[in-house]
Amino acid sequence: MISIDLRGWKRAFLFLLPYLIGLFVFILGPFLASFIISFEKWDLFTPPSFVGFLNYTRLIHDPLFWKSLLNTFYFAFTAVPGGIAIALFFAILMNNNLRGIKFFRALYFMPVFTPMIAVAMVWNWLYEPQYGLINTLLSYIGINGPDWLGSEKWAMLSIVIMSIWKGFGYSMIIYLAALQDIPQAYYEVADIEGATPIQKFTHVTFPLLTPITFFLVVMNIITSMQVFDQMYVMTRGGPNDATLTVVYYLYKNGFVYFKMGYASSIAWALFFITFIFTLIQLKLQKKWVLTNERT
Amino acid sequence: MKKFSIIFLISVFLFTFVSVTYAKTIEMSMWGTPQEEAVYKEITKAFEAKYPDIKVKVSVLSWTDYWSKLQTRLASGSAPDVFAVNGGWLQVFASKNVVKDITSYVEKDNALVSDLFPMAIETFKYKGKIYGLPRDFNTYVVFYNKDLFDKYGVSYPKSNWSWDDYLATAKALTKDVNGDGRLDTWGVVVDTRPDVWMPFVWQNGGDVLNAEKTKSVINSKEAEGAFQFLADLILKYKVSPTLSQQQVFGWNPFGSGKIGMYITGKWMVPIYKGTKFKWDVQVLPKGKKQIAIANSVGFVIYKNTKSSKEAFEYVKFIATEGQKYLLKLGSSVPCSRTAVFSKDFLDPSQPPANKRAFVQEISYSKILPFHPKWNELWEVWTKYPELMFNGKIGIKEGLLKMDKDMNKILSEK
Repeated sequence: MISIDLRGWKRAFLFLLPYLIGLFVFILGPFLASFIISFEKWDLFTPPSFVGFLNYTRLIHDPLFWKSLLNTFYFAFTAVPGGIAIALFFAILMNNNLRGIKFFRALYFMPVFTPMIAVAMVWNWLYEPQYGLINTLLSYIGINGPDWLGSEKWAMLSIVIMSIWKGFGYSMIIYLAALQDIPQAYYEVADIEGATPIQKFTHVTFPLLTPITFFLVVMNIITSMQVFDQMYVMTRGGPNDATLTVVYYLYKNGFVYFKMGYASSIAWALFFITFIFTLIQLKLQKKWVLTNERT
Repeated sequence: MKKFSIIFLISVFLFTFVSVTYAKTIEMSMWGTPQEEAVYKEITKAFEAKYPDIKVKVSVLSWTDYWSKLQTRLASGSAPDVFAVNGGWLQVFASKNVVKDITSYVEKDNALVSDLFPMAIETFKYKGKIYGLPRDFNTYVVFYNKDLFDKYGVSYPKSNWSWDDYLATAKALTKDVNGDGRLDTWGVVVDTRPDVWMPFVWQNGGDVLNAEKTKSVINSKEAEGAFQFLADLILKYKVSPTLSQQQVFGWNPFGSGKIGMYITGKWMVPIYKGTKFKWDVQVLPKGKKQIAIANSVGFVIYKNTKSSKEAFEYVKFIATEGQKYLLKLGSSVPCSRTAVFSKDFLDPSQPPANKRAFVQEISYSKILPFHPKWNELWEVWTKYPELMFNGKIGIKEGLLKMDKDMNKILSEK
């Protein structure tokens, strides 16, 4: 017989109450509300009306939705691997005790906490086709740089590059912590076995980092699927919807066209797609991620 | 003595309490700059002096704050009694039944109707009923950089100039001064602003929507001619910076001093006052027809206001007697005849010198075809001109797609 100390539960509940209220009011409540709204037609000013699955069927037949989904995939599946690879590279570089290394660690982390608006505006200038720094530097080595943000071909890639620059510091710091957790003993054994630096990386470092890599890939893909800020500031979804992402399309439908119902259905569609991706990754985890049971 | 002072204090308190509660207080909200806030507070003071038992609480917010706050308040059912809108938002709000129909108030008031410019009132009509009153009637003109004209020996635009004159002048002002292969000054700026390309379409005999605003009529030879002319300015004659080059200038290309002529409205005057070069204005060049464009901003009354009479008096005051205070800002063209022909508006000491250009255009200005779905329409009106002016699609194809997209939006229930 387990006796439950009811007074203890009441006290625990009271302590949790502020957080629970926040959770319900700001997260679970809106969650439920947006789910209900996705089955309604609502323009914010007049009362909503129930329309069943109309929004979802519209979504399936909406070419702009599929384009935005493709654009979002392009972003997620270039920015995430690119960002993580660069973060790992720099983390390895930063993983030493040279004098002043802390300065460089902070330096590479700085873009992370610089406001996106400021970064986007400066990169707008960098990318300017005629007078921007990037094309000017390219012209010195004889390359005629493209219209980075103004051409359908390059716009999304340009945003990807800027996003990688801005975000890699975060993953770098996490990798740095993970690197420092790797026992030196493994490297000493590798040295004894006569391993080259590359072999040390592929046989010691990378395998031991797979759990962290998995975490970073999953988290970064989830946030990348929701990318919005950069597109809003730098290209407004253009040119010709080349950088229209799902969340940007959702924003337009909800707050520019006042189609709250349709916007909510887009949000839930995104949720399910992201959910499926995460499930797939969890299933694939066994194939490549090292855990304590599997070394 | 003590008893007396207590009674005195209580009666003073009661008096102010009573007079404040018996004075009707209405709330007005708008977007604007600090200078505009100061002027509207002056107008309000004058209004309160004329109507001592009405008090007005004025709140002026930045553009983005204003709209997001207004939407939230309208959605929650407690909006300001009087709030500012432009033509597009008026259509949205009127169609959603959140603003008051003031047709009966206005039609009863003959003096008001004869003083306001008809096109200014037109902006605030939805399905034939009036839902607001204007506070200005900004006609668009060509601002030109006199120093640049003088430097290249180009004569200033005349009021009867044509599209050919516009092109010739632009060519004469587009120069690569230091010979580095890059243009340093341009004659004009061609961009995607619908309020700037539309007068060209109208002048060439075309239009955007039919009279009932149910179908698009943009796919016409006349519209094609207009868009071709504008696209040629950028792509063929290269007298305008390309759309991506324009990014360098930010929101104020004319202020850079590198542009010869720029089409916009009088609200830019306070900003251009600070330029290092001399400038003036001229009416838009004439195409097959002489048509200009005007944009009117004004005030509406919240549907669920508890003080509709007071709110109407306030809105009417701004449109008439309040206009003279707005002249101080110098940033708009008044919507009332008395104000436009007053000494204060035509004051020669205030730039621009050729203010009559604004007035001349009033008689032949049209307004944008606002519609409840104008947010979506506006996107179409900028998306395809962007492609056309970048040379990504041909004019015929661009207009075809514009037509298709517009009809899709208009037919959606």
